[in-house]
Amino acid sequence: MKGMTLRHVTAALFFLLPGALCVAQSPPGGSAPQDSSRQFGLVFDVQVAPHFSSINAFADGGYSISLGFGLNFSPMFQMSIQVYTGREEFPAGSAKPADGWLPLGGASLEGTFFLASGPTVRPYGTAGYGLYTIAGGNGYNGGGPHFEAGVEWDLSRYFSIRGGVQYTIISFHDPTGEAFQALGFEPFTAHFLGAAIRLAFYPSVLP
Amino acid sequence: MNPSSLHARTPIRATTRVRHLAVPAFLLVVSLLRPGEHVYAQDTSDVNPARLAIVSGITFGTVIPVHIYQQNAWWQGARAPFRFENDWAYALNVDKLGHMYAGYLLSRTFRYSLEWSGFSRHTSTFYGSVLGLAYQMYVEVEDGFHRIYGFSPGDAFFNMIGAAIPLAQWTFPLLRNFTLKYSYWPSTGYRNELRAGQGRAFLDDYQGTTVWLGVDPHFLLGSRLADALPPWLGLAFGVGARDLDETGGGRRQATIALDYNFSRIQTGSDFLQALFTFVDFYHLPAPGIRLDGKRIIFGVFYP
Repeated sequence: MKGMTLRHVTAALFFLLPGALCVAQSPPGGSAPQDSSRQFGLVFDVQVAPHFSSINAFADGGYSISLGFGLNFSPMFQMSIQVYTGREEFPAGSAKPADGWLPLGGASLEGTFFLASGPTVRPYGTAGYGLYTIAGGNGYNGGGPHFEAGVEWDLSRYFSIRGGVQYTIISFHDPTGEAFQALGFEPFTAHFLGAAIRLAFYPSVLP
Repeated sequence: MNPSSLHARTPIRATTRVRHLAVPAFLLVVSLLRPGEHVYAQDTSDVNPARLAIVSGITFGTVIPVHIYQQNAWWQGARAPFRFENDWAYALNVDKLGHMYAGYLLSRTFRYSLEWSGFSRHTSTFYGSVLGLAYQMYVEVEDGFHRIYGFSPGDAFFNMIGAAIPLAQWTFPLLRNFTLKYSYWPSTGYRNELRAGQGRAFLDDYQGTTVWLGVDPHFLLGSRLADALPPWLGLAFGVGARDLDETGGGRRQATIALDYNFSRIQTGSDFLQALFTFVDFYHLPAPGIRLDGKRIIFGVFYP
């Protein structure tokens, strides 16, 4: 417990304090058309997405956390790379590890199209393709398309928040042949349905 | 040295009206009162081709040997199909802070190099972070083809955070009072492995590493106190891990120590200013308090 406390203190010192300053210093207001950071520039974002999956017949699921960086090519189009980590509940009937959870990981390349460039609140659609892993270690990899639709809301000139629904299809395979034997799996395609909340940071630095 | 010059680069200071409030609330209020001052500056780039050629030469002349070093120390003979590897427990998370520091260091180094070449500061900051992140991600992708390492989403997370810090500091000037620093001394285990001829990179020697968050406290103080405190004196919070094993065990260290911000000293010399800026990426030996596992230690700490 002491170790956890120390870790939390570390996290607070390194991230929460400067991070809170960062968010708080952002002036309110600022909509997309007046805000040149949305025209062309970098975007960094963090996302939390709980999901249900066909791995557990949509009865249980897991969650993922992702960090991403990308580029706004125009007020209406953004390309980004997302890196994921998370956990998935182990499917029933398999050789479960002690805690019943599998680690999730991956990365995807995504394009986001905003249906309007003007308003502070605007709908968007995202499509991308990702490479994923489940089980980690000698676990097997997977790949597949990823879709998302939702609404983005400008919190300030530098920050926006997005909420949307996600649908991801991943075909898992086993490049080494070890993980399938260890876990009692066969190659399979999984469907993930989830909700995502994403905080995006648009730095003011423009080339 | 002219004493008045020591105060010439006054750090961003908060209003004194609310200084008696609790620190977090104080900082939040202050930050609300001070929006970014360099937002959307016009590009004033005036690129010097000779300097740009020197910077490009040094960059490639550094990246290629470093790639060869990493190839020998990390990747040699262990090629495998691309894969991911979640390693959140590795080195008690100190490696993640190391990745953040590396992203920050590279981004700022590229920024200074581009600025020296004649690019405007905001263009340099932008491309500095892009280049810093690109290099870090290239290393991570190379790890993805390693039989044991794999592409670590956690490492990539902290690469991104590190590269984003200079951009956030540009956008929110208050954050310039926070810097990341590093101190290192080869651990016994690392030296033994080198003697045994095992290829290993010192960057991976987390038992000899402490990553620090340096804070320039002047912005928290009233003007009288801030003027009384030397501008180069600061505080730093350090995190390290010792006695690491392969099963996720080990001992955490947390340290609060004095810190030196030499770049706050105005010398009038570009060379000295650049040297001080470089030195400020490192935390030098300083007195402080360390929580080492369950022990509390007072002393001068390095790393």
